[in-house]
Amino acid sequence: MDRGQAPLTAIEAVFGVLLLSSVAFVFVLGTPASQADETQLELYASDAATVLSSEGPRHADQTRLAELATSQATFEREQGALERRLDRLLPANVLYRIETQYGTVGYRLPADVQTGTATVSTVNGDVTVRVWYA
Amino acid sequence: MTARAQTSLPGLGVAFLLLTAAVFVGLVAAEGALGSTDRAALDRQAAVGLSERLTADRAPLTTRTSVLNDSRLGSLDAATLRSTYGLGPDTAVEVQLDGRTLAAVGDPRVGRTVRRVVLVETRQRRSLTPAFTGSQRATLPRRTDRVLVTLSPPAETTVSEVRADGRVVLREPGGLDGTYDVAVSPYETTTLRFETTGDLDRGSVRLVYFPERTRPAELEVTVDG
Repeated sequence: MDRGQAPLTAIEAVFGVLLLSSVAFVFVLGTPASQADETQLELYASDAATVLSSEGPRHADQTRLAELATSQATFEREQGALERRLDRLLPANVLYRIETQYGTVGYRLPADVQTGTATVSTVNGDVTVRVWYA
Repeated sequence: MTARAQTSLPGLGVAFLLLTAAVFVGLVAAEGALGSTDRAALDRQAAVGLSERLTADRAPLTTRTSVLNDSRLGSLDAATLRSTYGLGPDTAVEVQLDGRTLAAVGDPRVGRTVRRVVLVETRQRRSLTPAFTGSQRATLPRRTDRVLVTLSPPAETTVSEVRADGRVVLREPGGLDGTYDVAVSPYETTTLRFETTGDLDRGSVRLVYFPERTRPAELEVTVDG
């Protein structure tokens, strides 16, 4: 019976240390590390939206994005030009998708990826810009 | 009963020592982790804020939101960064455009970087002398935000009115003569129409307009607080 006494305290101490270090590890590992990416992506999206929404239309309407969202015909006419414009505008490691009520322009959005989003209201409806890292 | 208590006393001491050490190590680690994310978040916040102010609508460098004016980029230096953009006294900042340093205060090594998509605008100066064969109109080939209209009509001709896309921009019933600065819409192609008594010919009107050229660029702001 004498032999059981000392190890019992040692085991309790070990459990205590484990408990404390697990709490400490929550702090070390649990702080969000991907916030930088998220902020940066939101900025890319809002910048692209700002630049596009202040650009003049190629044919007729108020702005380029309004022209895109006018009808199915203008959407199909403008989507190629808009794609080329965004390819030049955004950095090479950033992919994009523009959503309007008549369809989407750009790349297919992967299922599990962090995105930055910006929505521009135009006279013809909302246009959403979505960007993510390639 | 007494024998049992005696043997566990050294074990108890060691256990307390272990626990105290674990608490200490844990606190130090947590403090370090929280402190570094705090500083990084503050730096990023400062970088985002500075980039917002650099690209804002009526900022010293911009012509409109996210469009930097090429001719004003040279005016950004360390002193302007400090005075205009209100940085802390020991904050190191670097502003780069497409990898070229525009201005730097201190030497930010471990700072946070924020990248913005901007356009850099350069304005050219183009002139046009309409021939006026069969019409009193002149269409500017490219969009511009202002036109300098120089009128020197022949002696028997009076130019009473100039319209840009139907809107009256210049009007003088007694006759317009000289150079006028006309603001027009930068969003549509401008057609100027001249209301005259008598005919205009080549050389009666000279137009100078300022089409813009923009190129996309990446503005990088690094802040190390």
